Amino acid sequence: MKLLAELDGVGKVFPHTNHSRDRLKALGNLLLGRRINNGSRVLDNINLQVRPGESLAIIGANGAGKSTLLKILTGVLRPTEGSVAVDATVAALLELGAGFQDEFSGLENIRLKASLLGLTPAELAGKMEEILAFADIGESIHEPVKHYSSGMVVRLGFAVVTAVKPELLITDEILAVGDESFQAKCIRWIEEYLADGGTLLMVSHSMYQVQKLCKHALWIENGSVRMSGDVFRVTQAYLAWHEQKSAKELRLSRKSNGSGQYWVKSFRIFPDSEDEVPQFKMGDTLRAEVELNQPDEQLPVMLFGLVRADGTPVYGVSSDQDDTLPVQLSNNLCRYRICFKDLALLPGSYSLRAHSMDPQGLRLCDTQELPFIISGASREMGFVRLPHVWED
Amino acid sequence: MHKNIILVKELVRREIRSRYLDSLSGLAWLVIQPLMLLLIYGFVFVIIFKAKVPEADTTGFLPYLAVAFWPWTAFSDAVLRSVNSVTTNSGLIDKVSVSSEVFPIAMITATFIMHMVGYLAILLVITLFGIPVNWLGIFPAFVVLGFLFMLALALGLLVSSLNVFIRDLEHVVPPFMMLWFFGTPILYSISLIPPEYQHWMRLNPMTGIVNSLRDFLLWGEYSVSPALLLTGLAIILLLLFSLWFFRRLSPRFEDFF
Repeated sequence: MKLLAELDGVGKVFPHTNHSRDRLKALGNLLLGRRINNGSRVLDNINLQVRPGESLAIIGANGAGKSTLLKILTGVLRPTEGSVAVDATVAALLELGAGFQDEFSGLENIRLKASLLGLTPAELAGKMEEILAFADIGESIHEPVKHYSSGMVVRLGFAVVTAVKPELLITDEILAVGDESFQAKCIRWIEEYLADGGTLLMVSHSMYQVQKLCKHALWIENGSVRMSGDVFRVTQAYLAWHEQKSAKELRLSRKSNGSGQYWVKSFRIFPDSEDEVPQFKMGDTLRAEVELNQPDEQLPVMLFGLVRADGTPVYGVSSDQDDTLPVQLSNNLCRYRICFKDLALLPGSYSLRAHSMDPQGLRLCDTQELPFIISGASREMGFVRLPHVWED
Repeated sequence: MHKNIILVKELVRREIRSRYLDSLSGLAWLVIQPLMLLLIYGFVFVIIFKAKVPEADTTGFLPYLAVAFWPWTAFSDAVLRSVNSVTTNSGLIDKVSVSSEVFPIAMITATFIMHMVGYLAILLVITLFGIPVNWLGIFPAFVVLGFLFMLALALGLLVSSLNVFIRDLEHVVPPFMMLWFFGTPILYSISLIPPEYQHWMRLNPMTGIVNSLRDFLLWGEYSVSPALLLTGLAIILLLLFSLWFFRRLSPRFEDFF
């Protein structure tokens, strides 16, 4: 099948440009056809193929190189290494109001934008009504763009693109600006466009939008591809990474409290897997086993807490609430086992915390934590699936 | 290519619109502004310095000056305005995939179109004052003006791309153009220059251009000198070099804005 765009081993280094010496040196190197190789690297060895009908989201933390990648795809930037081949009519909406000139009216800017996209004045005239209807900003169209709200600017930009119907549409975080009704309108348009065989490449921080519009996702971190593939798999891993990052920051401020007598000797989650982090599907069964040090005759209380990877509590239950006693393994060792059947947790990253407590269930002795992942394709929101039926 | 032509047309249209036609008296200014400059030069040189150009006996000094002054203004204005034409559009070049050369090309084209309208108007004014303008000479003059346009394009492409890397250029070019103006026989004739310096002046491509414009439009002489042909050839070569130069640098403009 024909490829609309292909990136092969693409890398980008931004040259140093602060000193006139650097600029002159770069000028000389360019004229001599030499490469400029000192600078800051933003992209490294990116490979990407875009097929017709594809819908791909590019996700990643701020500064990961997403926008640079889009700029290279649209031809705004040339890569330092690697090759870019684009074989399609491309319309790109990079940043708010890109390509608009403040002093000119909305109408003038529509003309410029259209000519940038290769529309002749005659073709534009035929589509003007459609554009104005989509932008829906009324008489403001005759005002200079500098007096527009950011939402109006996005409306205008998107309206021109809808009239062009490109083979490949590239958007960079632009839907975040419009109001709810305009966002809905844009998403409706994109869905129709995709249904008609259009191809979409978007950058967004809204995983909801990403999952709604895209089939695949590409996660970029520090200029390299960290993960790519099915949109649900990649976005979940990405969200989990974020949650773990914020949890790590949280944990730094929390003191370890393993000084009590009833400390956790071992803590395991079943079924065990070869993965570093055990993976479950929704509806699976999760078992956990804890062995506790027991210095005297008294039996410690066990509290299990289920938290989201960022530390948000989901569910907690203790052995004394359920009147459960541990199994005595030896003189100073006892064991608790718990089984969560038919897991209702939604896909994401979680941790199971084992808290050992004194026999009265009043004082916390020790805490250990094991992460696990629930995988699956679900766009439900929240942490758990509550049993529900849709009624007439 | 097709896309770039559409874009240049649109840029030229809006450049002309924004510069003149938005203000009510726009078109009038196009004629009035250089006319006033011409009158100032006329006053200083004819009344105060009592400048005499031997060739201009039949026509008077002002028409002699005007025929060369307008094209020079178009050329100089075009080159000066093109210096910033890439950097001022960095917002666009940085966000939209576009061949950057459309910006200097559109700027120079728009400037030439506007000044050529003024040129025609001033030729009419000269005729109205009873000095015969050789209107048939318009056609060969058009060819020479075409070369002038190409020279402006060549220099415009050079300075606009260099200005991305060397920002001081916008301060260097204006005095250089001033020097060039006085080094070209616009206010004077080449016959007033001591003979030993005359061949240096002929190295200046503008010399051949303004002299032939006077030949065509004022004296009705259509002989084409080999020097003029050589100038034309040099301009074409320079333009080709400038295009190469510009395209060598333009893929990296974004990195240096």
